[in-house]
Amino acid sequence: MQTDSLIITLLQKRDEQALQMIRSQYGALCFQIAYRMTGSREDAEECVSDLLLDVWNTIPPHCPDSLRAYLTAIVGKIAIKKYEYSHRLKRGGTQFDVALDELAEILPSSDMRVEQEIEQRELTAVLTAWLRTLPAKQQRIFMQRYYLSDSVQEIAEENQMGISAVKMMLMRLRKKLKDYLRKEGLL
Amino acid sequence: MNAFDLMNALRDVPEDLIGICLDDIQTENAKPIMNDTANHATPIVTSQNLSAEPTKQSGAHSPVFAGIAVAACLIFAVGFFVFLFQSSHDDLSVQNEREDSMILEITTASGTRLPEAVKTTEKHTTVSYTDTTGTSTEAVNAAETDLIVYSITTESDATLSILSTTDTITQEIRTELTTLTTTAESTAITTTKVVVPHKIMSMTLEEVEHEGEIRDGPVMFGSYERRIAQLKGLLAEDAKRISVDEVRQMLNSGMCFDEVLKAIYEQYPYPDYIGGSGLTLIEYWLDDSGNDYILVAVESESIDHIIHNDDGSDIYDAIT
Repeated sequence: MQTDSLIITLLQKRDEQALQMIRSQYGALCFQIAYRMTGSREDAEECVSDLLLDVWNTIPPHCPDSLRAYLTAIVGKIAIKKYEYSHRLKRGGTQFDVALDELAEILPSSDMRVEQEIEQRELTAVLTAWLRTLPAKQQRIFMQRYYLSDSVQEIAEENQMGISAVKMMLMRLRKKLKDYLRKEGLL
Repeated sequence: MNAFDLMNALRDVPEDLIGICLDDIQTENAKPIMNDTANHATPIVTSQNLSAEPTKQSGAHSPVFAGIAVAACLIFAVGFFVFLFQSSHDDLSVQNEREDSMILEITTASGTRLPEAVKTTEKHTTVSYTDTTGTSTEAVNAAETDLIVYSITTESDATLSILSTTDTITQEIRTELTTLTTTAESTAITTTKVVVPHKIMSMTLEEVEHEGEIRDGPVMFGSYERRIAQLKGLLAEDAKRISVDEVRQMLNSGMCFDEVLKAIYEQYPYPDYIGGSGLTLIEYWLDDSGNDYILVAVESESIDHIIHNDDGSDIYDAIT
C-alpha cells in the first residue's frame, strides 16, 4: 500500500508525522483489537499509545512488508500483556498470585527469558505449520476468532454461516490443534 | 505452555496468514464493535474520533464546514507532498555533498571498520597513525577529544582527516582541520577509545532492576540481564562480550535466525538488556557504554548493529 510505504519512509526519517498517520489510518483497527482483548477502553487506548512507541522504537531497523499485519500483531501482544497485568491487579490480593511472583523471583531471569523466547518461536513455527494444513476458510475463521477476537456471531455473518456451524468448526479446530501440538511434543 | 503463549504465538505467524483475516477490513473505518459494547457503558471510538473529541466531530455534518474541511484537506495534502518533495530533494543534496567529501574518507581512529560513507563521532585521548616515515603518535589532547571521522574507501592510500576536535567534552567544538597522510591500512591507525560506562554500571542490584523496568518510561518493560548477573555473582565483571564479526560468521555459516539466536544464547546467556512492550528486543552491548550494540528483534527476525551517537542519532547496520 502506498500509504504504508510513506509511513515507513517517514519513520525511517524519524518524522513524527508517521505516528499521526498510523493513528488515523490504523488507530481504529488497533483499538478494536485491543479493546476486544482487554475489555477496557482505557487499556485499549493505552495499548494504541504503547503501540506507537513500539513502532517508533523498532522501525527502523525493522522494515515490515505489511504494516497492517505488523501493527495488529504488536497491538495484540501489548493487549495480552495488559490483560495479564490488569487481571493480576484485580486478583492482586490472592495468595496464589503472591506465591507465583515469589517463585518467579528466584528463577534465573535471563535463562528463563531467552529460553522462553526460543520456545515461543518453536511454538509459533508449529502453529504456522498447522495453520497451513487447513483449508483457507478454516484458516480465516480461526484467525478471526483468535487473532482479531471477533465474536462468533460476527464470524458467522461475515462467512455466511450459521452460529452453531461456526461454533462447531471452532471446536473441531481447537481439537485438531490440540492433537497437532501433542504430536509435535509441545503438550 | 498456556493460552497466553498460544495467543502470543499467533501474533508471530507469517504476515500472509494474518492477512487472511484482515483482508476484508477497511482499516480507515474499522468495523464498529457494537456487539462488545453491549456490556460496556463507555462508547467505542473509531478512527474518526480516536484523536479528537466527539463534539468537534458533530460539526462535520454541516455542509459549510464540510466544504471548508475538504478545502483544508486539499491544501494540507498539497503542502504535505511539497514538503516531502523538498525533503527528498534536500536529502539528495546532502547525499551529494557527502559523496564529494568522500575524497578525504578515512577509517575510524579506533581501527573499527564502519559501513562506508558513514559519519560518526568518537571520543579519543590520542590518535596514533602511520605516515610515510614510520609510526607516529599525535597527542591530540590529554583530555577527551571528539573526532569526526569518516569511513575509509581504500586501504592502500588512506587519508586521515581530523575534521574537528574539542579540548573537553563540554567545550564548544572548534574546528582544527588537520590532514595527515598515511600509507598504512586502516588497522595501522590505533587510538585509545574512551568508553563512558553506562549509568547502570555504577548502580546497586536493586537500582539496576528498577532501571530496567522504567527504561524509556513505563512502556519498555525489561531488565539488564548481564549487569544483574554480574551483581549477583553469576557472571564475571570482565566476561567476554559478543562481537559483530561473530554474529556475521554465524549467519555466513548458513545458520537460520533461530539457530543464530540459540547459538548466541548458548555462548552469551546474559544479554545486556531484554525487554519491550509488544516486541521482544534483546541487546548485546559491544562495550560498557551501551551506545554500540547488537539489537536482536525476535519477532521480526532482524539483527542489527547500532551505534548511538552523542547527538541522539543512531547509525543502523543490518547484519541480517
